[in-house]
Amino acid sequence: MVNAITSEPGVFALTQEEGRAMLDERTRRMLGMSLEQFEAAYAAGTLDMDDPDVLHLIMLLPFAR
Amino acid sequence: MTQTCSTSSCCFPLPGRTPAQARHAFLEPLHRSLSCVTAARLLARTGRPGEVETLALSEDPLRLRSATAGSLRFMLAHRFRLVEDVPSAWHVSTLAYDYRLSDGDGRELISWHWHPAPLPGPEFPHLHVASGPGGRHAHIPTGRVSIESVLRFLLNDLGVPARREHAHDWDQILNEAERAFAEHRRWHARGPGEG
Repeated sequence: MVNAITSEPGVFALTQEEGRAMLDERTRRMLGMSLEQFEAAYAAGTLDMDDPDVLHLIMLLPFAR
Repeated sequence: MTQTCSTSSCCFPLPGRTPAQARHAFLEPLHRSLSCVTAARLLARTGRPGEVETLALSEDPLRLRSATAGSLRFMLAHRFRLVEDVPSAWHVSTLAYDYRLSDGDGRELISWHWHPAPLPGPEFPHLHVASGPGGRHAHIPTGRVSIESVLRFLLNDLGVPARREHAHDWDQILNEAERAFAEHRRWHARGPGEG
């Protein structure tokens, strides 16, 4: 599933597929939309940037790429 | 590709002769600090040198119990990249962070932010305090805030208990990690308009 990337236990690198699954769960739980819908809304500039959850999820977008 | 530290990033040049070593030197003390309060995993999306890399907790939000504030939720998002100063000398350069503390119902209490362009919002590090003047939309300027200093705030000021295995050494762990942060950061404070 995930790969340890340091000798410190508990630090793991996600693959793009794992990252997308993780982020999809979070966009659905926080905003009620799929990751694909979130990415499309971000690209279209239609997300509510005053919503702290939106910024948080935007910060995590590299997990999906 | 060799990259230099720009005004829109903050460098954390812990030793690394390779990109992997520099990443490890950054992530290991960071996770050790987080482990003072949680067993959650630190998740990373890594990339090639120069690319944006991102960190998150496996528990999002992380649920904590404060002796003074009751149930709390903590969220973390952190972006960085690997930068080569000179040949065979790599370091981590932080690009953005979002550390958020909410109450047990998920209402934001305090957020420590730095998310310069291309992310939306102001260029300078700032704080949102939901109950503060101007409400949560006010951008209260701050210096750069380390994860360790937020953890210290949770432990010292809010009475979040350290995990049993770190009940006696959490202060030392945070001190060591934060000392490196303070010694190697390239800048501390940047106000509005200083982009």
